[in-house]
Amino acid sequence: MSPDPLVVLSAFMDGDPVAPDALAAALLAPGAREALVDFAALRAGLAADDSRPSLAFHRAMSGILGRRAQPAWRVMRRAAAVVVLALAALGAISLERRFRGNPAEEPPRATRVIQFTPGVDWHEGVPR
Amino acid sequence: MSPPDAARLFDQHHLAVFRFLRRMTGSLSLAEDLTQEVFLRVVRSIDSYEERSRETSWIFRIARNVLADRLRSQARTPVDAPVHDAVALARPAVQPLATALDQALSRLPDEEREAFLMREVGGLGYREIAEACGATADAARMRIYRARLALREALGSSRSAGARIPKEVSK
Repeated sequence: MSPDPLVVLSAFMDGDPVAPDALAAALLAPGAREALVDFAALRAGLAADDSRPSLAFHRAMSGILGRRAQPAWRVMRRAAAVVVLALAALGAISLERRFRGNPAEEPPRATRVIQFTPGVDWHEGVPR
Repeated sequence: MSPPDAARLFDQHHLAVFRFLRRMTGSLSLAEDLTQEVFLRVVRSIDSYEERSRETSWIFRIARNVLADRLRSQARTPVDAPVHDAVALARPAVQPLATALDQALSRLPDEEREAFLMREVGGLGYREIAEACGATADAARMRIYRARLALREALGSSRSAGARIPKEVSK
């Protein structure tokens, strides 16, 4: 006996293993398409629920779970500490570059050396 | 192996438990109260957690027991019926569907409603639902199937009357 098509579609909706033949047969049954769409619509309707517990609930739960609530000033203090550390790191990198010197800014090495002797016309004999 | 960390379990599962309980009770405030009770019990009994059962099944079994206990105590001391305040917080675009869905869910038999919501809201598989509810995986499958048929029938008329799921919601 073949299973009820809607039972197959319901199980398919739930991610239960369904034989491909059984699914194909179920989808051919009259009203199967509409049923599948309605099942999906039910799921979408429930998924649209974005209700959340209140802040008071979370405060109470923090007490139960032994968590210390984080006051706003503590969060701000931590954020400020992170900013100061980031600025200090940037400053250190900048100072290191300044003292070491950037290799790209060094002058090129000399390829020839010209001697300047006082009293001698240095233009003579110099290749152009 | 050491027992799971309660704080991690809370972080991973509290939203699913809260939304499951909100749909089961129809009340945000009651769902908050019950979710708190669930994780209080998780903290207290975490040392007795057995590896055999999955974390999700274990937590939802506790949620189910907490809800049953609350319903029993309410039956002893009559109080006002829970206000379906969830609808008030829903986005305007989905309000008609949210209302119709909440009403249709409230008319389902408890076993079908909890199995269906564990699947759709909690994301549990058939075996996990079976463990949480003390049933078989086949029973879980059939409860979810029956819930879908009943909801489809109940919402069919309201959807044709204009409460169709908006495009932005149907992903």
